[in-house]
Amino acid sequence: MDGSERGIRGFRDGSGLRRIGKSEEGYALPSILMLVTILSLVAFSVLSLEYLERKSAMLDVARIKAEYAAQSGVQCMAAELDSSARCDSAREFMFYDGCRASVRVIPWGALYLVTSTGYSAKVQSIRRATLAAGPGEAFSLALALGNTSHQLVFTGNSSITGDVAVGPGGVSTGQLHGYSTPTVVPIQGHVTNLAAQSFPKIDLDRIHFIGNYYRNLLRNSSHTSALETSGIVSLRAISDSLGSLVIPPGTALSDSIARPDEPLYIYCSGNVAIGSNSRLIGMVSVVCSDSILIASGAVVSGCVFVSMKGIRTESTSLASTQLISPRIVLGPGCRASYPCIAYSIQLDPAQATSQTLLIAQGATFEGFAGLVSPRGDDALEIASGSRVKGAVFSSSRLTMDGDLVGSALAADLFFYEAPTSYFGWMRSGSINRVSLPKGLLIAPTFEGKHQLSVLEWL
Amino acid sequence: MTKTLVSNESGYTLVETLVAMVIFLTVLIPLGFGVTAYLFDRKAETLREAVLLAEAQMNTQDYRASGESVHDKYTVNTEIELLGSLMEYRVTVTGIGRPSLPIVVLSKIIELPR
Repeated sequence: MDGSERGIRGFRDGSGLRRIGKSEEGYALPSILMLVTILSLVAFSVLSLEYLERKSAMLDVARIKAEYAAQSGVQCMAAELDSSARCDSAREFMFYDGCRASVRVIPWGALYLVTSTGYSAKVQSIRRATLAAGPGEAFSLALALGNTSHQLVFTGNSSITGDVAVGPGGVSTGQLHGYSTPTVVPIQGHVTNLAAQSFPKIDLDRIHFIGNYYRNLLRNSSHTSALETSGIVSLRAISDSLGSLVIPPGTALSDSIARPDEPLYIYCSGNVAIGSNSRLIGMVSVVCSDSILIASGAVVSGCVFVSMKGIRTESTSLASTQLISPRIVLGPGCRASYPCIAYSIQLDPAQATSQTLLIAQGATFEGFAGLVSPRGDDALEIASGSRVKGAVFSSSRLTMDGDLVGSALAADLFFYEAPTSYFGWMRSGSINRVSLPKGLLIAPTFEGKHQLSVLEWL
Repeated sequence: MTKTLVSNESGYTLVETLVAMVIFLTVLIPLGFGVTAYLFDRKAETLREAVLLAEAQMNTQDYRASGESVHDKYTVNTEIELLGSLMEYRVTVTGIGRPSLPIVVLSKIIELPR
């Protein structure tokens, strides 16, 4: 058969096609099949790309929804708990859009730490936050003097801006050697009888709960991994997966550690020092049976320090940090920024010691400073030249010589000027309640059911 | 004549072309329509735009009231539901003229402002 016989039948003149047919016999079907294949592949690629893009967009939506579910979980838990809540608890919350959150709350110093996992489709998101309590009505005052048998006496350059609640003795000015005597009572605000305001009561069960909780953690710490070597321990050597660690007494922690996701508990049955220029960032808890020193130049953020004996800070930088111990000294140059908590409480009633909370000259503190003591002679001292912003509470004495922007509630005001102790007097301090921004939250340790709110998203 | 048809391959290309055209028509044209429809639908892009709008609304933190606003080709609807000391803030984004078909719904529970 020659090529002229082939071609498409029915064409009168198939010469052109015949020529093609001659050299490309049977090419149309393979070429179309090839074209179909190629176009199918292109179409498949385009469709895959579009499908993946759509899937990715839906995943983004799910991620956002999971994030909101996690946040909502924290808020729901905060609303469900109140300041009288004691122990660990876990809850599930379902939401309008089909998302859900699994929420767990644990004690975190004097606060609560909430971990909420939000779920949407197959995506999950985790949010953590600390919960604190609203300050209650009493903290709307500039000063409440709990001892109603004492008169509030001003001398020197002491002053108060805001409302004051005192006993029936009222307010006056007094003369003191070496201090000027105000010509008028230096209060810019209303003075009311304390009976009308009622001095807030401490929830002692909650204080005991905090003490028990940390004593138990310390007692059970023997089951956790321990470092044998004492001396200086580099925080860099601690792996991210480690949840708790026991260090020998006398250890100094150096270098830096960041724990944004999982808490790390460091236990010690002796003294601990946080070394100069070390950095502890995130959810790190240092619990020790003796004292803790936070040395000069250290930077601490988001951590909890609990000591059965005492905590002393030198010229350090603290942020969102809690110091809980019977004896606390914030040394000169210490800068504690909001929301910090310094809480002098008796953690181990079996080894009760005298208590003190001193904010030394040159220190600044923002947050809640409290002292809860069964004895009347323990004192919270805001030294002259120190600056405090927030809420101050003392179930015992308060020496108010520094500058406070916020509210002070104290069973008694006190200072010693040789050879006399003065009760109910202020000599150089100032309290300004008016300048305190709204939204202050405090440690949830007062009687009554105070609503919890998010203090800080971690 | 029959012998010629059988013994050589004259006319094979016509059959072949017809088969090819049938394949072309049955496979590629629906595929083309499908791809075009899928691409012109732009669901992913629509979803992304709607989510951006919804998130922006969520982040305004203006939780005072329910309301509705129009942004380009979308309608953003905000609702507030009080739940004791909390409130649920819900943002629904729909295409203009299609209020019953939400593109995206975001909601979160927040504490009532003190």
